[in-house]
Amino acid sequence: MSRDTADAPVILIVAFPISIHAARWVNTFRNRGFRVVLFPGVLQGMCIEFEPTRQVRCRADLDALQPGEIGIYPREAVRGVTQADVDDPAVYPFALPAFDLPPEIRPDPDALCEAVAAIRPDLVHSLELQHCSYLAKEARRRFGASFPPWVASCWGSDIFMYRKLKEHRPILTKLVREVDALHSDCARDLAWAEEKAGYDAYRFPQMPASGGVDFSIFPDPARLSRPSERKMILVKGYHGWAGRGMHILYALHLVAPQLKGFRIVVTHSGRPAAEMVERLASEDGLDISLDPYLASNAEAMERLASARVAVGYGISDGISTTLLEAMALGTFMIQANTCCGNEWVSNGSTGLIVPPHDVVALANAIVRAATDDALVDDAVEINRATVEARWNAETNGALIANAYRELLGMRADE
Amino acid sequence: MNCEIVVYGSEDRQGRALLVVSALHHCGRWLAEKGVCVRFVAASRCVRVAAEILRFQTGLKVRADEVRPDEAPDDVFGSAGLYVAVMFSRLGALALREARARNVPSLVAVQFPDAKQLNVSVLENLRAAFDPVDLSNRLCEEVLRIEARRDKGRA
Repeated sequence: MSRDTADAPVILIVAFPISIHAARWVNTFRNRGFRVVLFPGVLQGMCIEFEPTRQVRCRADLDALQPGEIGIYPREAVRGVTQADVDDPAVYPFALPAFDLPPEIRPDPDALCEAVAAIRPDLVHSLELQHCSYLAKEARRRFGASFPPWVASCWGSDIFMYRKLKEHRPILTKLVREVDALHSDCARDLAWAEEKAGYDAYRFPQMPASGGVDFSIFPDPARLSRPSERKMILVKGYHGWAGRGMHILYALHLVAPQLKGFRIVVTHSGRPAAEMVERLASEDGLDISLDPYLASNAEAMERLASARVAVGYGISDGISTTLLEAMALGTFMIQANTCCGNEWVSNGSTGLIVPPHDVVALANAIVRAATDDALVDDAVEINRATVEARWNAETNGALIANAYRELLGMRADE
Repeated sequence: MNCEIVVYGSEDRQGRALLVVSALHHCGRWLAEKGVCVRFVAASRCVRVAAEILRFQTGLKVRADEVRPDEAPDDVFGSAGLYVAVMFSRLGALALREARARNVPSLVAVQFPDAKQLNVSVLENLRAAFDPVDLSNRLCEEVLRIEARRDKGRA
């Protein structure tokens, strides 16, 4: 009989249904002795990597779950918060919008309470803080003492950036004191929770937001070209909230003569970046162009594997998935020191880490990575070994499963 | 020294306020010690967030609002000691004439300026339009100039 059926513990995951990170997290422990149900942290479409799935609306529906299937709490059973909830902090004190999401796609905490009452999960795990965990925190307050043990995951900027915003700081401090376990993709943020916010509950194993991946999706390093043979520089163009993609373009302008012979590809960019790219091409003579968003992960991997260096820059991030994928594909990475890249690469040997407001330092790093063949080639094996050890679905899946079991008072299994 | 720096706070096709924010991260503590405060006007949402982080990290007194200098010049320039902007190609809605009319000096850097925008000041600030450290240095020079002028006036 499958360990995923019968009386296996039930984990209710509160997450962005569209998120590939959430799907990958679930996939790391999909067949490890739990029944899993997804509750939407935002009312949106669903990432295909959650499949196979089956609708689960109450405890009895769990019996129909087949081994490996993920239960999906139906979207139509979840109503959004009302504008009145948002306007009145006494009604929903954590309704602060982190982004400009309309209230109707943000679930009412009562709907999560109803799901908990109907499914009776053994544990609730909210992935991401500002939407999914604020929601879970409020649902837990309304539900009362019989709410199941609650794990919250800190992703990316959830603590590092939001603790600097006065409206969020007190909420974050309360939240980390209330959770039964805190998972974070960065040691940096766990340190803040413990040292500054008074977190002293179960320490969930620290690992990337996506848990881990099956490394068979990446080509064998021996089949990849050496980075020194590659002529492409990949630029992540995100700009605005936390990303500073335009700053990368400013850096390219400052060192344009030294980048002749390279093809520069800019992804995830808006209209201002497009106009800047036009000028960098026409006035600085750079071979630079915009590349579309690639929905296919395989195509995105292929593009990343063609790059000698990839550049991401911003004022806040966690452990960027692009960094992890680049490390797996032999692509040398430059990032700002406001992400957790320094927990994964050694600055100056297996990656370059620069301050977020120093465009000249960024420009110098780009030139160094573009011209120092030994630097980029020597990083390949170390980086691949690092991510295979620390971003591995097999090992991290066992860690997640054992952490859940410990929280449920069960014997660690593997 | 009691001085308010007004920054054109739009981050869009023309405004480059996030580059000014980066410059202020380099000189923010020095400005705070001098008693200088900063007001972002016509501020985009991402700039308002970045301004709050700037305040958190440097201790600089920072506020941000959506008042537009071309629509409410008295409000924007009434208490300003210096007007700072980084723009792309054109000067857009900066309302520099209104700033001049109220004796507010300006520090404006333009990325890839159109021929019509070229003047000595724009040419001097070409690097500052891309380099936050250079912009920070120029900003500090302007503040020292204002301070010297005030000292001279008092003497």
